[in-house]
Amino acid sequence: MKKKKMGTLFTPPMMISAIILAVILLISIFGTLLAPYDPEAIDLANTYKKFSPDHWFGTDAMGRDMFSRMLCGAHTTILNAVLVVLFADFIGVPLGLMCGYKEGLLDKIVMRIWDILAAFPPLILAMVFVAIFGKGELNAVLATGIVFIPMISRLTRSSVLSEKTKTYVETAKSLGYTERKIIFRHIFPNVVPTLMAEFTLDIGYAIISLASLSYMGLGVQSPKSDWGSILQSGMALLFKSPTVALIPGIAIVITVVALNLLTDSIQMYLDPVQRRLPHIMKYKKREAKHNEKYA
Amino acid sequence: MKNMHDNIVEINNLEVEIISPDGLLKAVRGLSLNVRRGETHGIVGESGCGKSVMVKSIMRLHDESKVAYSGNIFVNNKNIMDLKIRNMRKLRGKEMAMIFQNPMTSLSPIMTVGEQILEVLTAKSNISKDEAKKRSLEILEKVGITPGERRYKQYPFELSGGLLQRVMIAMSMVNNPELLIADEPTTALDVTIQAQILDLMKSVQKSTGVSIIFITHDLGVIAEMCDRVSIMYAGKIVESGNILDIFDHPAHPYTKALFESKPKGSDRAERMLTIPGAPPSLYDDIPGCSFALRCKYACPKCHSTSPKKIELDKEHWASCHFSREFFEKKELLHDE
Amino acid sequence: MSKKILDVKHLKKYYPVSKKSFLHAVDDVSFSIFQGEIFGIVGESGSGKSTIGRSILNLIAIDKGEIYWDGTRIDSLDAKGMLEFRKKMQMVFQNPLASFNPKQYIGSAFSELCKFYKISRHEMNEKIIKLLELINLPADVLTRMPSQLSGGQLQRLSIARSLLLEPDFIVADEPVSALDVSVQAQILNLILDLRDKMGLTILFISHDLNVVERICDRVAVMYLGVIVEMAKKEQLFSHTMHPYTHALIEVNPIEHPSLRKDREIIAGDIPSAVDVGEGCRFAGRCQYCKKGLCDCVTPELIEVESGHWVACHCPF
Repeated sequence: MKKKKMGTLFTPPMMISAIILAVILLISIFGTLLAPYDPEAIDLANTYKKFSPDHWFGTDAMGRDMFSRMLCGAHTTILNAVLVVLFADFIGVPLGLMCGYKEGLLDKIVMRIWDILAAFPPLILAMVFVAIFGKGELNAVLATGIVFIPMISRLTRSSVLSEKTKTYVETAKSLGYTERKIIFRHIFPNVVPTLMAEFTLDIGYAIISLASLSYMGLGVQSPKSDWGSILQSGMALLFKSPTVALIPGIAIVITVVALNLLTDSIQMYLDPVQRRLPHIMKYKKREAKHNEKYA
Repeated sequence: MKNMHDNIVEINNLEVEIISPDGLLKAVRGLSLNVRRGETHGIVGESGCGKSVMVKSIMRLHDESKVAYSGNIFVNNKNIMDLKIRNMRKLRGKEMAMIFQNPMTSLSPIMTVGEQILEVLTAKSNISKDEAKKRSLEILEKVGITPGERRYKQYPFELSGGLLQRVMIAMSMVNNPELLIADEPTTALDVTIQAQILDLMKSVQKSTGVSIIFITHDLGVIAEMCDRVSIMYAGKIVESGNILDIFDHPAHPYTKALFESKPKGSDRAERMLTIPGAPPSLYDDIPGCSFALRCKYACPKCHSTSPKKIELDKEHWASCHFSREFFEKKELLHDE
Repeated sequence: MSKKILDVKHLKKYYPVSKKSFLHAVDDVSFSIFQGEIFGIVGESGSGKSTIGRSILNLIAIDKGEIYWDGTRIDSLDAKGMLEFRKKMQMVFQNPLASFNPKQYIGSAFSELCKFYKISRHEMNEKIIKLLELINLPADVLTRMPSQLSGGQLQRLSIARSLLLEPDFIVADEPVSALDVSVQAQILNLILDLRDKMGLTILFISHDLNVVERICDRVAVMYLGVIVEMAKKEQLFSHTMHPYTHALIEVNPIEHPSLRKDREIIAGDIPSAVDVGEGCRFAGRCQYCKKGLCDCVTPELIEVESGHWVACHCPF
């Protein structure tokens, strides 16, 4: 059977968001090398500079180069966000798989705990955990990660619930396979696409959560800085030099929106019913041209 | 011209292409079909032979941005392909109606069945609400849903599949259409319920004279219901004729094979005859006869040239190079 | 007569619907299957026929009753104890596409099973080649994903996979109902071959009387969780005793249009099996129902003639 895959993953919104994210990712990896100035170098002679060829994004209250700070901040911000989601997936996914498959006492207890946690706004919860662990970069990552676990394990659980009613799971049982094998070898690969889409979306949420914690001074500690803490330092100068707050704010928004767009595109592609297909007349014209060329 | 008036549906050389995530599906490939007024016309085919796509085309139910038609479909001498979608909508429900395989998903889950019938009634004709309700109750009782008063207020999930299919029939017949298209209406039902539904459809036809296009894969149901039959394979009608002609003198090897492979009798010593292989994928181009790869009578000619329609008898034709020989039950020369 | 290989005694399976009411999916069903026979269970939806198949393989826990395999009681075994019997008893499901993991190559599904049961690589290859020959498929199907194969091919592969462990007994749950007529015959022939060549015992669950008549030795007819009639195939079709079996045969689609006649079509819907009380379950739809008897006293399944069991107060 010869089939030609139709419809493309590479829709315009997908391409734009992918390019933006690629740039951001590169910056976050190599940002520290690209920075023209030391992001922590204080230069009191050059405070509150406007945009100029020397200082692309100007300088802040202590004369630090905003462009360099943003580049280095990107490193911290993105890396920490990825860490948060990896940590949450590492615990949340297996937990969700087990709860969904067994549906027993474990499931009941875990889900009730998540229900209680869901009663608090996520940010407040993260603050509580930071209060317990003490403030600091790693603790902020840990706290945000814990807050993300319920979300991820719930999603995994519901995917497992729908997956395990399928006949192939029953077949696996009838072949005598152990539960561990059925869960991890058979069900897990079938829920991965859903989790992949969720992964990118969660990175966006993690960036916002971490930025909020840093904004409140609970996350990254000076002199190190991420976009959240730069934003916070800019808030005090909002009227004197609005760019210091605006630049990290815009950076966060662009990154999160790009991540959401990317997730949407992936999800649309994964679902054949939603996948955007070319108009048939256009497709046939294109096909005719193609055939002409090779005839 | 006289011929035109006899036929409620006349399809000439219809081709339907649909774009899908898996490629361009050439679902219908040069199909011609006549359905006479007042008859029950059966269409038999395996899954994926394009029969559902074909009947949906008669109603133009496909997403117009994903489908390309060529050829003509005349319903009541109107060319459906020339109509605007707006005008098409007026025809649906009034001149032609359709019932589907799964009644559970064909009805809206949040409206009572009575309301749904009422909606169809008021949408196509302007009668008062009380009048409409009275009519709906009558209709419910007519299709054997009793007590009507109680059932009127029930939601689809409260009714069994058999009753829901009755509701579907009631809804489709509300505005007295001239053509009813039934797409595997009993496949999802149990045998005892299937018999009841078939019985109901027969009596509905008797009282209204509606023409029915009945799609199924079950030859037993065809034998029970139909006046004429068309056999569909890989997007084409391969044989068409009166039911007795088809059952007694099948002239296409596919038709023959279908009858032979039907499990019947209880003598196990004798193996069931099978058709080797599987139907061709409708994503591919098929040179020559589409059945040639599975046909035990195939010769080189079959693989290269597409067979033409051969008239065998009054209103009985088949498209196979050797139809005449099959029809006259002659031995094929190259048959061993 | 060959020996009893599977014995099901007073099997009951109730599903809770609410705190106090239960769906009587299978209600006190007893039957035996003899070595080397094809035993058919026919019934409409909700008759409990699939529940029986799954209970025998211990895929669902039963509420009451006993299941014996060759003298050993297997219904109360845990997963470990069951492992030994899993090799001997396999299942084939209705939907062949769904019974393969969509993210696994066919070949990998086969080798995974062999690895799990510690079959050596050499032996595995030999077995797979033999099985592919038996089901008449080329070896390159092993490199395909399930979605790339047709229903008939997949059903043959799913039968082949169940044969990999050389079982003695197979539960086939509607193995041909999802397939087209032209492919059905291929699968039915294959099942008959297996019985003849490998001496398999088969429990064949179906709703299609024609199929059952074609391939089974003995048939049990089920209605709402109970067996209403059980007999050798010839007895069942030539000397039908239970009104329900009679009705089923009556509504079976005809073979030729010339056989059209006014049939007695059984009226009413299949009732729900929730909280069924005393009395014959078919009484509500039965035209021979005797008030005061059929609707109050549950008829027992009794042997009316040699090998012919029927549960009816007034059999034909």
